[in-house]
Amino acid sequence: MKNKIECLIAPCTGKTVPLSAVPDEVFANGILGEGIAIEPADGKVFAPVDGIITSVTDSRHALTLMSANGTDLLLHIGVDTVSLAGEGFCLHVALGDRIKAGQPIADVDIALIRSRGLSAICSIVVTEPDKIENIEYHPGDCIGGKDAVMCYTVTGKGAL
Amino acid sequence: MKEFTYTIVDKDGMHARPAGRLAMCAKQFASDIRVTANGKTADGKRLISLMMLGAVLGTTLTFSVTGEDEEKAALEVERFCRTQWNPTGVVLNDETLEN
Repeated sequence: MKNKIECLIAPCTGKTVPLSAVPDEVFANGILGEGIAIEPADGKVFAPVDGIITSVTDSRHALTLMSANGTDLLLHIGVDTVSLAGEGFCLHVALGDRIKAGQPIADVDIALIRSRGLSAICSIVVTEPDKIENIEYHPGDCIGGKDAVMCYTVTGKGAL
Repeated sequence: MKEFTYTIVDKDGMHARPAGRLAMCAKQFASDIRVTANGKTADGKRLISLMMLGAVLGTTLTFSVTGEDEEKAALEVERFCRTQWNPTGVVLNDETLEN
């Protein structure tokens, strides 16, 4: 397969921060993979790529996706939000759905998350970082569903 | 091949944090590590594959470890599950799991 450049569109409107700033060791230390996080300004969540929903957790705070180029992605909303058991999360997609970049996929009550003392930071992670290279991050403010926040070259195999 | 089973005692099941840490533990070894649950088999070194199992509290995972370092890999991955995954340190019995 020819190497392809893939960009992740901001899943939320807000301000991007490095994954190392996420207050959770598995994100901050790169255990989950390479990615970027957004401190959200509102609760609208958009698909970061064209692809397919590969899993949805029961607690609706995390989704896994595979991009059309075969990149495995984890979209995780908040920190320790698994503890909310779904409260405050409304998903518009289900397992197996095909998605287009920028499509609204969830509405999240970020005020509720914060009222429970949790961070609402939204992380998007490439979970098999050995399959990508030349990662570029686009720091600063971003518009959800529109602005690219991270681009890289896909070198791995396995396009859909 | 080495095999062992582990029943999830984390109330949140196979969510991102344990799946990521389990995959990281598994990646240290050359052996192929397969995890089976709910009629599905995951690659133990891939976070997303593990999350796609849909494993929850009480789900029994069957680990199959095959390769040159299978002995050590099975031992260490089982040790991870039993000592580092369970956040409370409380070992639940079957009765507790049913409630």
